[in-house]
Amino acid sequence: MAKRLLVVFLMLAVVCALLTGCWDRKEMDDFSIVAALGIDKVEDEGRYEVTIELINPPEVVGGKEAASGRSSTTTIYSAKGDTLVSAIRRISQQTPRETFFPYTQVIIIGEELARSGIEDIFDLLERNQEFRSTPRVLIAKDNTAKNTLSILSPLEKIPAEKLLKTSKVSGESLGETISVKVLEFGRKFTSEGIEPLASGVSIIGQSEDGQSQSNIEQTTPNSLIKSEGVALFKKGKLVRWVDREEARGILYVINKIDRAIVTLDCNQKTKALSISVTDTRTTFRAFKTERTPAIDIHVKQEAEVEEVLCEMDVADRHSILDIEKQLEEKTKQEIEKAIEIAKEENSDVFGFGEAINRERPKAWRDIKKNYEEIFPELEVNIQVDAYVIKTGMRKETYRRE
Amino acid sequence: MKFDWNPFHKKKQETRSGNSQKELPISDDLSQNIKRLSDEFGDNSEIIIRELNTGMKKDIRVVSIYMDGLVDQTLVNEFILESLKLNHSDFDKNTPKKDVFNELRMNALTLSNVKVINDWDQLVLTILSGSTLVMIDGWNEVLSGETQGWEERAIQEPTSQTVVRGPKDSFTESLKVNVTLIRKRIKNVNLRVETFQIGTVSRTNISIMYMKGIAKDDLIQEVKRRLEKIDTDSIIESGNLEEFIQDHTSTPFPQLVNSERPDAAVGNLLDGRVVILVDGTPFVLIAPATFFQFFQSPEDYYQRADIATLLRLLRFFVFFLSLFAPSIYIALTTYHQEMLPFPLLINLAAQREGVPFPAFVEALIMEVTFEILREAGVRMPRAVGQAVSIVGAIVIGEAAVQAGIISPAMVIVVGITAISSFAVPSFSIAIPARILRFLLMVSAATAGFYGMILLVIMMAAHMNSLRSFGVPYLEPLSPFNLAAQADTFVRLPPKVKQKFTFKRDNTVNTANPLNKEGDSNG
Repeated sequence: MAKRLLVVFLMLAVVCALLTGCWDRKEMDDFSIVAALGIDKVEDEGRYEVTIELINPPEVVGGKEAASGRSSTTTIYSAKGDTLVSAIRRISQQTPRETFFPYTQVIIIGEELARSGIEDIFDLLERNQEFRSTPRVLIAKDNTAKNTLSILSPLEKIPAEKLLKTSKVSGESLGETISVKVLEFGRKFTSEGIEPLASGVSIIGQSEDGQSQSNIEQTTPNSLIKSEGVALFKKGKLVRWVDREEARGILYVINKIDRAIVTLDCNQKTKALSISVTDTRTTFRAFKTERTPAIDIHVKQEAEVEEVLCEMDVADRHSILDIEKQLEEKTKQEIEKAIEIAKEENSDVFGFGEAINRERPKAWRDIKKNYEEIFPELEVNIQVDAYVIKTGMRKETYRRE
Repeated sequence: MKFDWNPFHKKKQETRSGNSQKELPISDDLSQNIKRLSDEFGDNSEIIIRELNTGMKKDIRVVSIYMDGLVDQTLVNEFILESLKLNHSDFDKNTPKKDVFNELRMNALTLSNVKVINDWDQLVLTILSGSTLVMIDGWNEVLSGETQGWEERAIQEPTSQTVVRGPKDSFTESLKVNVTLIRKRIKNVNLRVETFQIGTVSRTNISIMYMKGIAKDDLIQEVKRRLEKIDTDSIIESGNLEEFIQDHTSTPFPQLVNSERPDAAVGNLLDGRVVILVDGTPFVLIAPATFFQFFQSPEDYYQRADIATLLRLLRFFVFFLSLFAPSIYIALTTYHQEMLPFPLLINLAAQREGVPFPAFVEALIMEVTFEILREAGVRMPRAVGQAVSIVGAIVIGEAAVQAGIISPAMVIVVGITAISSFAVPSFSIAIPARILRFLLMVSAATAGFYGMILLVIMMAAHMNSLRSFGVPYLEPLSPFNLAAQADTFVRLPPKVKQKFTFKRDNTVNTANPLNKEGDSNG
């Protein structure tokens, strides 16, 4: 009896396995991998123009599968539609294969769309299970996403990879751009007391030149993609671009500086000292004053002397102290400037509101409604502690007086 | 060797062979006996019946009977024929035959093992086993002298279970030699050997060996019971026997370990297992067997514990690979592409470009091709081996990829699978992997990892239901036995093992024979 039951059970199990009927099965040559998604605003034929960058795997891998460089490593398709999904589906009129989104590396948003508001695009990115939370959000500065995606780039075979890596590397080594994931960006949209920010990419040179293979066959490509600037948002709309030191000031506050290069004065000579900030840790706390809450920012920095263009004894304690003092001052200035800009635009990209909510929930309840009026007036105290921990492999400078 | 005739078995045999006239005792008329023998053996040219006269006056008729080829001619000549020819005291025609018989038995035959036979059935069997019979006219008992001697393969290095470090001898086709190889290693009276004859036609000698006091009595009784129950014409190899005594027939998993290594047999004997030896094959059976036992090589105990442990873990990994590699590849590339790292996905996608078959069909083609090659490799005559392997390598490796029929990644996967299936120390455990691999490929192709997991759950349930001579197949993992973990996935060095104060593995009674505590477990 037990044996018969077992047989029946086994048969059922086998039938269960077979009845699934290969649902969801797709061979790897049934779909095309999407490396990047670009979204632009259009006036005619719908709201959005969606651009996708499809990978042509044999060309990327090379070897004998490649059609000897006859086709490009990626192909750009775009279509328009009232919603993102309708535009994406319309692309299927042009592509022979299904699109496969999990490996989307970057999502590029055209500046025009960014300025007119981008909350709506995040619904799809979070609702659809094919999208991951990891693609980086980039804004095409002064350009459309479509143009930006069309530029072929040297070194990296897939332009989307290039965008991703450039934004990461420059963010890490220069400290003036930031690499933001979709999830983080979307979270800041929906949270109270914080506004999102994203890095920009711009095209150097003529964008028409950058679309052909010949662009990357030159040692000096006609056009290149550059990671540049940080876009501040306010209520889902891009309100201002900040760059260089101003951008760095913002990133200091939100603790996103990994490494940065700061130029300081040396004795009487201005901008003659390169200091590399190797580690920055920022914490800020909200505390309550009589009238409104206020914010205390504490920055702790570690730095190395990288380059000295003047006479200076780096082994001397006093000169090190001087550098530290200058660095503290400089960082403080940058942060102040950044806060000033944010206040001008009334965009709390730092999340001060969130900090107040977290630490003084009662106070936050009172000011939540008119936080827009409070933020420009918010009192912010900045304290910077900088330490020079290394002076490099050389003691004396080349220059002697 | 003593034949422990089993009454149960004998009864069975008698009922089966009703056409022969076995019930009759041996007659005291020599001529009648000889006639009967020639009737039974027919035109068999091998049987040699030598008549001669002995006694003082050469008037006592004596006959010696043996099978040519099964006996050592020198022994027969020197110790039987010679001694019969000698003048034995003062016998003549009138001496009572009983005295003659006893005289021959006690003094004449200068062989160590002389037996008295008074049963016709046994008489025939004794001849067929290579003994020489001596019959005296007028007496109904027969003397048999052990004169077995035939050409045997020498003890050679094991061919299917090799080790780097360890004994280099292996069992041969001779049961006697095999028993000796084990006996040589355990000089203990508790090592017991019991011999059966199984097969109504072949009457193959089968010995079971066990350590009395270490092996559980239940187990020994069970092994004997199962051997007695066997109802077959012949046992040619231990594989035949295995099919008769295993617990479950409808399973791909082997439930008895086979080995051609005496050291492996000895190790298992000392662990309380029963070793079953079959005459005519170098492969002995070891019972009971658990799944994890198949991953142990005798060499584990000859090497340092650290490397032995690592190698054991490697073997489990290798088994996993040989079972799952193609199905994982199929599931990943047809259902779960998003699980692959981005660069790998691009790479695999590039390889698949232009391949005409779905991944499953591709894998199936390659696996079947490999199975064909492997079978050809085993069966083909040595002389053409090289040709087959060259063609095989070219077909599998180069041509299929260059023609664009198979993607290179698939060749890698099949290659890994193939090598893995050979890296498992026991060939018999590689077989379920070989069969289940195809099932897994089907389930991976129908429902991806989900389907594979379904099948794995079924496999686990099935393995849990298996028993080998009453021992759960997944012991000591299920039911869990902490003590036995010291020598399952890892091998702890003996000193550490003792410090761990593990109780002894109670899968089988492994207590030291000198330690009486062991009996309580049995």
